[in-house]
Amino acid sequence: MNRFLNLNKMAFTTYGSSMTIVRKENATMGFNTSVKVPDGYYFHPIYDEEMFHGLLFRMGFEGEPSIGMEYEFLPESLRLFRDLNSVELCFPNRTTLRFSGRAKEGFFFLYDQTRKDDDALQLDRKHAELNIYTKKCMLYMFKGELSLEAPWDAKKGRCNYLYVHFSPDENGELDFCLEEYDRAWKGAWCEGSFESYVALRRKDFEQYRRTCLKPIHSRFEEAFEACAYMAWSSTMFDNGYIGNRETILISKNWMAMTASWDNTFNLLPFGGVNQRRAFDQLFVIMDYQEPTGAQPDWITSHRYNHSYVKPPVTGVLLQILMDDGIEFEHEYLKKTYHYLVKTIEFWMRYRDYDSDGIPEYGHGNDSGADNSTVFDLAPNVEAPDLTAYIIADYDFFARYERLFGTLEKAAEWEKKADDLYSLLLQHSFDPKRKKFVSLISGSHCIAPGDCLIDYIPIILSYRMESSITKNLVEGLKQKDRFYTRWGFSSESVSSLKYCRDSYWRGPIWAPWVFFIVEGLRQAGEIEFATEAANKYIDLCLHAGCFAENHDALNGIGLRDTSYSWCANVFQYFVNKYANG
Amino acid sequence: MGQLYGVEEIPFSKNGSALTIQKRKQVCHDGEIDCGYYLRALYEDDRDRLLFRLSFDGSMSEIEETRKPHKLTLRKGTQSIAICFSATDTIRFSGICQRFELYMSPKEIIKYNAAMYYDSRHVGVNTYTRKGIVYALKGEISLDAPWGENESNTYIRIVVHPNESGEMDFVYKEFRTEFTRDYLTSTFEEDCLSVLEDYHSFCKRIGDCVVPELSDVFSKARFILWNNQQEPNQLIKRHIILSGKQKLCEIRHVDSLLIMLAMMKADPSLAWNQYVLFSDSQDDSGAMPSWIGSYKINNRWVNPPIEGMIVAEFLRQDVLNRSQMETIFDSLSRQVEFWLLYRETDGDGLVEYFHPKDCGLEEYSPFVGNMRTPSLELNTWLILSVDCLERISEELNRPAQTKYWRDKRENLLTAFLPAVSKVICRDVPNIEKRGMALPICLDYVPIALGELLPLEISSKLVKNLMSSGLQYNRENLEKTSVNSILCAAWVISIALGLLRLGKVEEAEDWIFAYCHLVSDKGFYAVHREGDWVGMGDSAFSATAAVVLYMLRDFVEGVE
Repeated sequence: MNRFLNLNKMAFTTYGSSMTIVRKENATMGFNTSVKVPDGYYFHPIYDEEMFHGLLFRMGFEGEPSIGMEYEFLPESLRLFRDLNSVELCFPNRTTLRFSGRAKEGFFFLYDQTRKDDDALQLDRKHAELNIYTKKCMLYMFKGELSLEAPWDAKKGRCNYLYVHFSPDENGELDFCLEEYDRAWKGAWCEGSFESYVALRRKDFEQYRRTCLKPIHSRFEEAFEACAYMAWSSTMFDNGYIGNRETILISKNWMAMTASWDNTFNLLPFGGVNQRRAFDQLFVIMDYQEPTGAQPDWITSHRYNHSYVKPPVTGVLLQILMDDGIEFEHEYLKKTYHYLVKTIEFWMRYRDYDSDGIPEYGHGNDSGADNSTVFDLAPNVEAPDLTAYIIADYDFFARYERLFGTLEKAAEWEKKADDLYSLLLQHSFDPKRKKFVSLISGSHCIAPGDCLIDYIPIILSYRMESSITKNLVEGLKQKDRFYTRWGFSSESVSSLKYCRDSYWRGPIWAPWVFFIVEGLRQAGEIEFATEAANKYIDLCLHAGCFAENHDALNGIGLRDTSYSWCANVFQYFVNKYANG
Repeated sequence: MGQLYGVEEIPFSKNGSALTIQKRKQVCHDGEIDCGYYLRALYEDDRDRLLFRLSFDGSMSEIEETRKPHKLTLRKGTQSIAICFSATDTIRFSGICQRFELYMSPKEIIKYNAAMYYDSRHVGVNTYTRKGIVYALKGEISLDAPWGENESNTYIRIVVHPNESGEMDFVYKEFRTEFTRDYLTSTFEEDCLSVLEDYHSFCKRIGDCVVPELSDVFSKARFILWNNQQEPNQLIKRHIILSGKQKLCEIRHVDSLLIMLAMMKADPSLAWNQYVLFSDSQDDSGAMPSWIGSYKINNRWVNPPIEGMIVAEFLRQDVLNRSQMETIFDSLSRQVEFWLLYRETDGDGLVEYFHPKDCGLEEYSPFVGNMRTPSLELNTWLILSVDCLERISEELNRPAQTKYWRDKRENLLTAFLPAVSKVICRDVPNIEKRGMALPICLDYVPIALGELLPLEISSKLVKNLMSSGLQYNRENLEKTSVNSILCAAWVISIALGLLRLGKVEEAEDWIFAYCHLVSDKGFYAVHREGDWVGMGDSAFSATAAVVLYMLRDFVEGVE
């Protein structure tokens, strides 16, 4: 079994499905690290209302604790077993989970944390309807029978608990389905053999995998298979606001959404091998661009969020990939260009409340680095990474115009980039500190702390004076600061504000590592860039997962442990920088 | 126009807006109560939040309100501030006072809530689904909002100070992404006038009450329906009237149809929106969503098909065109098939609710020990829908369909009548089954079938109803034990049934009793039988719609 297919860290699910199975052992509930989850194997749908807190029923062999089961996790199937009992799960389609196997004393679902309105009803010995989340579910038996307990509590307006017992048939066999639907269940359909559906899913996955990036060295085969599984199984389509674009969600652990900078990193593995897939990840968000030019922060099956925005990094990544030699189709670039021009107009027109020419974030969430220390005094901060991204975007616009437009327009964009760069240096570079600084809009105060965000402007090293580049490189290399055994921490490890598992106040994050490595490379710091990229590769291999972020000191994966940008940067670094 | 309705009872809002000002009591987990005027937003994520408390000096005591459809005035001593909606996303404040504040307390702040001071005339807030800006046209603004550890302010206090003449004029504007510097250029009075004209135009379309002694409650119903309008917002794709603007911020299927009933003559376009919003969301099984909110369509429950009863009224009034009839026929026939195909599981010919929320009034539904409930009112409305399909197919000159639905209706009636008989044979219907001490209104909904019922059954039902104590009587408010409720859908069903039976006097008694009840106790979602206390949203659109319909079209029809 692939060691990255670890059910504690990555959900068993399939392409297009919102149904997942996860294993929780000494785990907490989503973002809420204070809520402990009882150990066990859970059914977890990842619709908007359930993705963070919707671990529903535990399952297991009757008479045994759920967590006592072992598992075998393949992209196409999951086998749960203990002693002679064994039940295998697969997805006949994206809305149906099928269970098949032998369970001497039977199998159970137990849901003991019911919420308001949760309810279930048994229709007969072969059918029961569950109404406990965004969708309804029908349980129906091919082999064996079921019995349901769901005592209704009228005062609380919910059933007190839900317990389903699945009894095997006279041969000791069980075969049943859990099928979700909206309003009416239209009858059992997946009457083909269990094995035939496993084979179908295997075929689907293999087909998908053929369209993914392949590792340059065979020692990364296993990790790349896991990355392919993550992308394949995290893909959604025809689903509310996700629409009909095949959209790779950030994760199916709990961040079951696409967000407007996370999505951009899908360009890294797919830009060179499947441009439609790569650009669909951008367009699914851009489809919801507002007249102001702002893009939603994120989109789920049921919502798009405009409370915040995300930094405009698309031009940065496209430039880097074009430098790598990837020739993007004109239509994709054209569409992206027009969207991105409006996005940048949004920042420059509406997000400069003190009118000093330098745009500002309105909240830590706008920067993507939600709680980083530069936002400790106020939410409206002129962080230098934002202006750096915009300058890089201007440079991308100029490049696009040189390729497909007019030299006059290219010159206009170049001038904008030059002017803004000059202003950035004047406004945000502090010669005494030898780095850029994040100023609060208006007052221009600086929050205490030592955050990596102030070094992100190194992505402009291709246009930077060598003295400034030198300052930044020295800062990044400085001992006991950002550069740890595993790479660049988001807050200096010597900072009083550093904390190991603290989101953006210490851990290592894929996007910032990517920008810094690429900035170093462009600055001619090839050795440093290669070393840092390999540290990140080693970090993922060491952690055994592709996590949202990693502990800067011991490298373990933190928070959501199956996170797209980590896998994307990992694959990109392997094929560009991997040693050996 | 004098004081109409208190802000505690009916939120101050505007046709189309999701913003409201409400007088509310905030009860905290520690038992503390913060009473005050709150600026609230009705987006789905914000429904349980009060947001900004409005006051002159931080204290709620001695604030007096004067409320008109277009303007709310708050006074404290010599200080006074008038509030109006300049647009659906814009509230304007104008007055003479030493200071005025918008305060979000630590209890209201949730993670990520933030306020930003831009300059002495602008403060930005990011505290709920939409973002907002407070900007001063006269006077200046200061912000007291210490940044906390939870990526949010610990509290937000925005204080507006007057100019040198003692005046202030400032604006709260919400937006989805960013303030586009589209400052107001109108005067406060012009904004008020614009709202007032809109309100008068609505009143004119609705018309007047035909029962003079109940004209006050009629006016109030009309005002609630105007006030509860919402402009298109994401999944609410049409301009509609919401179920309410106090506690509910969505539109429920049954409520939408009752609103349609009230609005069809006065504003056919708005009424049709109420229908199409749902029929556009009908799925291929034929089921309708239970409710639609700005970003969610609820599929977990299915409300009963009262369409047939409503549409029968439109047929009687001859207000539907052929295209509308075709749309209704297609949608309603599919909906009926859904109930027959998917919600009749035991073969007894009666369709079933699967969940208390299918019924729409979960706390008072007859669900005891069995979630599959072939409730009488559900089957009544289904038969009326089938009956309506027969009549529409006749209108559309589709003889085969007419026969199909007539046969279907007869089959359903055959299965249904024994169930009704069982109920009316008991002196106190359904007690053992429901554990209730009083007859409940729901049991009399079969009266809605009118002449479709055999005479002996309808007569017994009407007789029982008239002696049931279910009619509100101002002269006799003696309390009895309370176990059930009255709601607008049941009341109108019974009223229309009485009319079908030719029981005009009983019908008028029945509707006037209900209108008196609403007049005395308020436009609540439901009223408790026995002590008549109102519960739920106190400015409930369905209640207002039924009152309005009864006191205009219904009485006119009787005459």
